[in-house]
Amino acid sequence: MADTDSAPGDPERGREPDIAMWGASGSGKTAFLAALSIALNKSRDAGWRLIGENAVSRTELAKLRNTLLQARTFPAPTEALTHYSWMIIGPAETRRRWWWPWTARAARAPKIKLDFLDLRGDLYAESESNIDKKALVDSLVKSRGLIYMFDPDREARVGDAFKHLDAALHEVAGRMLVGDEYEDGKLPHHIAVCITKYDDPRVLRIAMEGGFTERDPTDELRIPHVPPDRVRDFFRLLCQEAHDHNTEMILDLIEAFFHKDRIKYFVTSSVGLFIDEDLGRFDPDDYLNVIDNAGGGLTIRGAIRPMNVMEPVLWLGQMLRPGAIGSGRWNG
Amino acid sequence: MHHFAEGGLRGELADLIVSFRERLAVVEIDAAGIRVFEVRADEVGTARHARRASAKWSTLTASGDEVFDAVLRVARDLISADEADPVVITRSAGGHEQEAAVRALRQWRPSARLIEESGVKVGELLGELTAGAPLRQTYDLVVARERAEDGRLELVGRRLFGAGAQPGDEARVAVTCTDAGGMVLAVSAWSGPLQPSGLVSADHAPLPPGRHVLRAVLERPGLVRFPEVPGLRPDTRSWEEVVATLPERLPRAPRPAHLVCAVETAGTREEFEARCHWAGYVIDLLAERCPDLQQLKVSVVGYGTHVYDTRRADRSRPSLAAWSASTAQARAALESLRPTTPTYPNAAQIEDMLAEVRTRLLQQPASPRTALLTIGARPPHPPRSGLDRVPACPARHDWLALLREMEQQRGLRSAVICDSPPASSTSPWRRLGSTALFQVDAVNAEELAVRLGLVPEPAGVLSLPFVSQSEDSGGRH
Ligand SMILES: Nc1nc2c(ncn2[C@@H]2O[C@H](COP(=O)(O)OP(=O)(O)O)[C@@H](O)[C@H]2O)c(=O)[nH]1
Ligand SMILES: [Mg+2]
Repeated sequence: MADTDSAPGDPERGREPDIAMWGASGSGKTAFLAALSIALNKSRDAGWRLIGENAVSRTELAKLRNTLLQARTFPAPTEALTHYSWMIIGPAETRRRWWWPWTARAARAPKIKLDFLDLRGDLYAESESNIDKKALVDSLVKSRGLIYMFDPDREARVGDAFKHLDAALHEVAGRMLVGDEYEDGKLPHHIAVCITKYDDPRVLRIAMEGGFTERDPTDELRIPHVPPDRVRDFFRLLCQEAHDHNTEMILDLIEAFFHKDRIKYFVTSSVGLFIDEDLGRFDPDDYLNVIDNAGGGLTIRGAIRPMNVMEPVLWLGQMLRPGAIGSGRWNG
Repeated sequence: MHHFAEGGLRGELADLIVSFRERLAVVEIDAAGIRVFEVRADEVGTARHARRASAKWSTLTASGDEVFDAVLRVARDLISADEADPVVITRSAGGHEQEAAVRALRQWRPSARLIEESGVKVGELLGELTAGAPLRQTYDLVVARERAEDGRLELVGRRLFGAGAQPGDEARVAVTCTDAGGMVLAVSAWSGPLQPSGLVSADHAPLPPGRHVLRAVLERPGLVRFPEVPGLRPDTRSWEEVVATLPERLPRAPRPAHLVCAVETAGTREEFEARCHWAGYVIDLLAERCPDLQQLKVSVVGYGTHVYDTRRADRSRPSLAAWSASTAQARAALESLRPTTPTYPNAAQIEDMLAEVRTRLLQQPASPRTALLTIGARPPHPPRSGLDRVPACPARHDWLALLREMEQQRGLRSAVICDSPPASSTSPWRRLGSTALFQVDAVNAEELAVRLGLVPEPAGVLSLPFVSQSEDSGGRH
């Protein structure tokens, strides 16, 4: 199936979701989704688009994007379960047969189906019989790619990520690992572990002061990045800084449930760092992009530059459908 | 009024009243009986006489005693055995009892002088002689002067009458009354050079402030009059009470002062007006207290909040409504300020205001007292954004560095009036309010002005005459 675009779930047979997402309430899931469409639009590799599979998802997508871009603030907290059915559609690759170069075969655009259950993240602290929870576990079980959102600031203050993750993973494992299908005892998913809110001083400070950041010499904005090979260590450090001692075990928990080579860590920010346009580059004294506004809410101060928002999604897409998104551009 | 030359009893007693040390006993013996008088000097040296005993011969002997025994007993009781204390016996009649009495007195005090004289009432004579005696101690007027080293007030005496001065003598002393309530004219006596032996009198003189040359007349020992001061009446307080009211220093003569009022304009009309109210109140208070308005300069600065959601950094600056102006101009400038809509909720342009004030201040020659009063709700922006998620000042002004610089170079004192109490002990408001920090609904403007060094401390008024160093020709501590 390596050279086809549809697999493992065939589009003709009502596809299962490819990617599911979870994380504590307020960890930044909704903002991440809103940023995702902006990020895809901004991408140099034009052609990738985020579209809603149905009318509800389409209007929802437009609303989210508008909130960030026009209202310059964050989407309101998710009050109820919201089910987004989205799809990322890539540029159609026209393939020519070498032996018949003057006719092109009908092109097929690569597609990744995103199934996002945006729900209140404190589910796992609540009772067993919660319907929201069942819907989430169902979506985790059906999907093969996971985006896990870890909010360092919430961890520093509340510190409940371990409890949620532990409960969710055991639930999913209970459903998937009892049979013989996965003999190695690990869940079959690829998982993108996303550290959110990198732009927040409480996160960026730790990264800079801990020596985790580097400058990309080609980046004229000189924004400090955590290079891919250091993200796991940075994640470990953030877990150690958490309010709850158990948070330290999150990394071990993830690595116990998933194949090590199917885990990738990302440092993300939905809004990115503030860059003074007069200065034209990152200023360590003034990178705050999310500030309190006079109305008691938050305002996104400068341009929205999502950081590592489409990368986890495309990495998962590549992992799940290796033939479709073959480009090495998405590796980082 | 001179009683010396006449000799006899009057002359003898007049001499003794000047020269006796502790006690002088005078025994009057006449046809009817015997009277014992004693003259003593009180603590301020005024000779005072008293009749200690008086008896008819018949009474003395009523219980069967001999006159001799009875008089000897009285003498032992009432007359000092000390040879240094003189005894004078005056006898105006002869007879058995009189003889016995003199013998008894001579037995007790062999050195007693006997003067035969009739027609003299000893009690009256002693009254007349003590009132006309010269002073046994020096009399000074108590005045305050500023100590040369540090300007603290100290009490010293200005000489009115030296020992030996005669009733009727006059003295003049120039003093300054510093309080509208008049002053207390206190006369102290000095027996030696070290410290006053006591207060002769203390009277309240309702004189207007200013310099006065007082004429003092020695009426008699223990009584000094100031005949040209109308309405003089005794001050009934104890001396300790009088001294307790004295200030440590005289209020300073006004020196030039400069108050910078910085008012945050961001907020509701009510919030803004409450801030302006206090700015105006403090300016008015200073105007009222300042004896010389030329010496008082006031500046008014209005500042708002930074704007952060624009594409370019906010370069707006606080508006300087008045600089180093008169209180009237400052009042008008304050009226010209208008409330503004807050564009950022958690901080305001205090650092930009400080930068503006600093530039202006350092351009001026070092002025003496400079005070900054910041009235607002929001703390300054930091020079770099920190963990509290308050964005940095667009111009990167460092409020703390600016404040320190003005404190060090211009002796600036900084006080604040906040809309609400500072959020934490590390709030910049605490540092900005290091001189004084009030909340807008509980301002003690009086105390604020004092702490800012703009009005003198409410000291006790000086209720004693004052002599300045220059006119203080002498006197003693
Ligand atoms: N600084 C910063 N804050 C973020 C970011 N994403 C989300 N937040 C904050 O986190 C809050 C919750 O985000 P949301 O997306 O609603 O979380 P969800 O409950 O997981 O969907 C938002 O209102 C923002 O205040 C980010 O990228 N940077
Ligand atoms: Mg949400």
